[in-house]
Amino acid sequence: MTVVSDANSAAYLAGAYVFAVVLLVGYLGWSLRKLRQLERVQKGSSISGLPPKQ
Amino acid sequence: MNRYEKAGAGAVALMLVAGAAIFLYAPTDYLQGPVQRIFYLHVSSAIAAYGCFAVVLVGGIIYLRAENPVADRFARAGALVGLVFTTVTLVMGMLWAKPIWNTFWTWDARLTSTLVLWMIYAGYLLVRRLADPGRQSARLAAVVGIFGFIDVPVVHFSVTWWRTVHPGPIIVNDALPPQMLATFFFTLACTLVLAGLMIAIRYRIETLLDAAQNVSEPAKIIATAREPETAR
Repeated sequence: MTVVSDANSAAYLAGAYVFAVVLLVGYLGWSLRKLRQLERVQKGSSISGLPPKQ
Repeated sequence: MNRYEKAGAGAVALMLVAGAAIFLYAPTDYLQGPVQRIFYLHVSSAIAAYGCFAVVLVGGIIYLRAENPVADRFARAGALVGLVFTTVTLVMGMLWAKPIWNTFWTWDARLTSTLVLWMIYAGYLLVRRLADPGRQSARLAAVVGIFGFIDVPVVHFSVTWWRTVHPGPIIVNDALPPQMLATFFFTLACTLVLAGLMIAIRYRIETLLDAAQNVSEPAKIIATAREPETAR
């Protein structure tokens, strides 16, 4: 194990948390948007009685 | 705002509180410096991924026994969310390793078995994507999901079964001071809530996709059957 300088260490720490936040929040946002789209399509198809558009 | 979006906002708020605990409450490690704070989310994400893959295992077993589509949907949801958390674990681990080991990657037992775990569930999702949806692909994926879970205990116990450079278990060995331990358990709880919500959202998406598939299949058959009539 090497002795780590605080500045170097903080840069990797920031990089790690930025990556985690982007991936987790990005995935959550993407799935909520996809869910909203599918629910809108389902609602539209149940009103018209037609199958949803692919 | 629907109930999933409200729950999503709540989960993000919980993660922000966990972030505050990690950066403001937990003390800085004397030896490793600030980079040790990666540990809180890195380990929590790994545990959340184990939980997601356990959902794939249970879903797969139930599907093979009863052909229950609900179990299959949960398995699909668990695999995708588990893969997201394994990616977080791997990348955060690599960014911790660089300043501590002076390399991003080493073919150590823990790192290698975690990469294999990522590949198994990426393969599971690939099987689901490439095979025609239906009973055959669901059964094949259930088998992959069940056998893939064998790697979870291998990942977990790799640090005790083999000589590795990865740190050994520190939670069960009482090696953390109380403030670090409290921060870890709080982050773990928040991460598990987030993972549970992600599975619930993905389950709902899979349900809607299955419903669209079931409605559109007969519609396609009717459309194909009518084509010769319209051609005449």
